[in-house]
Amino acid sequence: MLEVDMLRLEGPGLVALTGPNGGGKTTLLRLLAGILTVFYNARVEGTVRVCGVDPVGEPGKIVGRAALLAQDPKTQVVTATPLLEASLYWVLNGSPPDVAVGRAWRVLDMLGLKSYWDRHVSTLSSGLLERAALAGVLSMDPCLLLLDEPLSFLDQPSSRRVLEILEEQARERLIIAATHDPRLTSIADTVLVVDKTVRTPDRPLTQALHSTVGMPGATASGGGEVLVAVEGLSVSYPGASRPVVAGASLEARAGEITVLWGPNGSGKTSILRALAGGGLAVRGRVSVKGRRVYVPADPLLVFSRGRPCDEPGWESPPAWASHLSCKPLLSMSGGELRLAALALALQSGARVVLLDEPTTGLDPWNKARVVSALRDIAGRGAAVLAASHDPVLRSVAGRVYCVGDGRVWEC
Amino acid sequence: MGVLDWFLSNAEAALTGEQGGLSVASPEALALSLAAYWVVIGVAGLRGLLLGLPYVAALLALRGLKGSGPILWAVGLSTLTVAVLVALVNPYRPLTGAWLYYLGTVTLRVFEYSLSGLLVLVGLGPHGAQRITARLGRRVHDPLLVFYRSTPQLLADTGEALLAQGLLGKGAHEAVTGVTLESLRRIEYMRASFYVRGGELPGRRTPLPPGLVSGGEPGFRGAAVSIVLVVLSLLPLAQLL
Repeated sequence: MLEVDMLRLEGPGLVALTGPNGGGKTTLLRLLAGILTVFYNARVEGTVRVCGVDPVGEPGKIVGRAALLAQDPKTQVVTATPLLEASLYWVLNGSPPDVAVGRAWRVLDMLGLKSYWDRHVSTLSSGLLERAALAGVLSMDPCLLLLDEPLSFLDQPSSRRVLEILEEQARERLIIAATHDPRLTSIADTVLVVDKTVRTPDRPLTQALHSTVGMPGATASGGGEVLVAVEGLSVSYPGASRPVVAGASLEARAGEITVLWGPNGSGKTSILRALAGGGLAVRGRVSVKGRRVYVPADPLLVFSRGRPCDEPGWESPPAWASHLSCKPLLSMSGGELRLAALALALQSGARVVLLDEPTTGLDPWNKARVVSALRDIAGRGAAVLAASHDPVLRSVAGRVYCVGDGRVWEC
Repeated sequence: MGVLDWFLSNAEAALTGEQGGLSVASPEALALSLAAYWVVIGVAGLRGLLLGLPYVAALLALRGLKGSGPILWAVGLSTLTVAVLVALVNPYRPLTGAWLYYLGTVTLRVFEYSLSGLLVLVGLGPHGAQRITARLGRRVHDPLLVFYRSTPQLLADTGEALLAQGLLGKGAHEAVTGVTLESLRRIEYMRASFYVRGGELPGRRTPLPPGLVSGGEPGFRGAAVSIVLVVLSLLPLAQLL
């Protein structure tokens, strides 16, 4: 799957790994972290040394030297609070509680998480959860920091904060980050392409990563029938001091891509859920014409079989997802899973397509294909409504609603 | 509470057919599917049983919401009793906010002490009992930690899957399969995350994080502690019955 002739990286500094979905970026990070053979039964040939240790032959010795941040912070954080998460490594390695807590406290302070130290992680927004996950690996003070798509679930302010932290950390240690995000590649000391092998980028690839090559233009605005109409929508959660969304009004029309734009935790997903027919304590008028389909932020949740080709409704997948038809879901990369979930939803023939972060984790080429497909189904009379942090998706939307402080307005 | 209510509202909509397309015959069918799911997730045998039991208790509590008041109260008060005990004797003061984690640790300790007491009573001797329970404790503790971290996420995932797959015309049992796939992926990643920070590793000793009674003292004394804990937590149930 991945062949590397010779790769030598020295710290301190920041190395960005880019390349297509399924090219092997995550595999390389897992190899360096010493978990590829322990957890994934992979066969590894050749010599690997990380911080003076062989992570394949002696995986136990790499613990504490290399720290790995997984792509999805929900799978990275294994404890119940940010303080527990930041102190876990030291607690597990037998440090006295005061030492463990002291180290954790310093990292929480650096990441701006002190006031959230005892919040259960299930109540944190994606941005705060990503920072809690980062706290868990930074507190280890590792020789090598490995990061898998560290910005993929973050809004703009949270991304800026994490980028600042990475720049600071790259002065002290070697950081290797897998990413499709040009903001991260632009601050990297070295950029490498991982696509079944590891190489330096050629010019077209660099251009693709830093631009929206192949992106379709914006959809027309205001033409079609109103398929989604919302008036005075309020969504609240029990125990919260105020509703997450209060008195929101919006519409989505046939032939149009509409984007909900706003920071983590602002209520974008709550609006999508309410339109999908779920949610709690929903007030206001919601009208949806025609069949709906909803793809949540965790794409696996739309599947009920182990492979897409076994799934009811998987009959004529789009060309950009046909190669995934009979690939087991649990062996797919994050980007491949999202492609498969979107392909399943787009085959349903629904007139109202509700998508939560549909371009997260996609490489620039797949992002262009997905955006093009969304534009096509809109062109055939569907209304596409997507919650997103992606400037590319925003740039092709016919209508954008900003969501923040409980309000929704067209922007 | 947000995710629990989210789960309940979607489960309710699914069970009453408000969303259309969902084919659940009864609440019991959903409950059995989810309980079976946790037994599978818990791998097998004792570990599966231990991981499945709290979930079955939660299901009983959910059923209690629909009219079986005493069950709800019994589960709630028992939980509260244990939580208060944890708060009173917790030696790791800065971490009291993580009450779910401690509840899991207490469950583990009760298991350890009960087992060690039993082993002593059948003539194994305190040292043998200590070795066995410590070994079992390490094997059980790590997944237990992940389980308590994951429970709110599991409820949220179930709500999302019911909603998304219901709109695709699929049933609740199929939604449970989606949640299972997601949980398998997540647990695999979480185990890896735990491991790279010195957690569970085949053939490697993992020290237990401090819990209710730091260090643990299996044997007769441990068995006594477990009996006291169990009796205290069952008192509300006895009162109600």
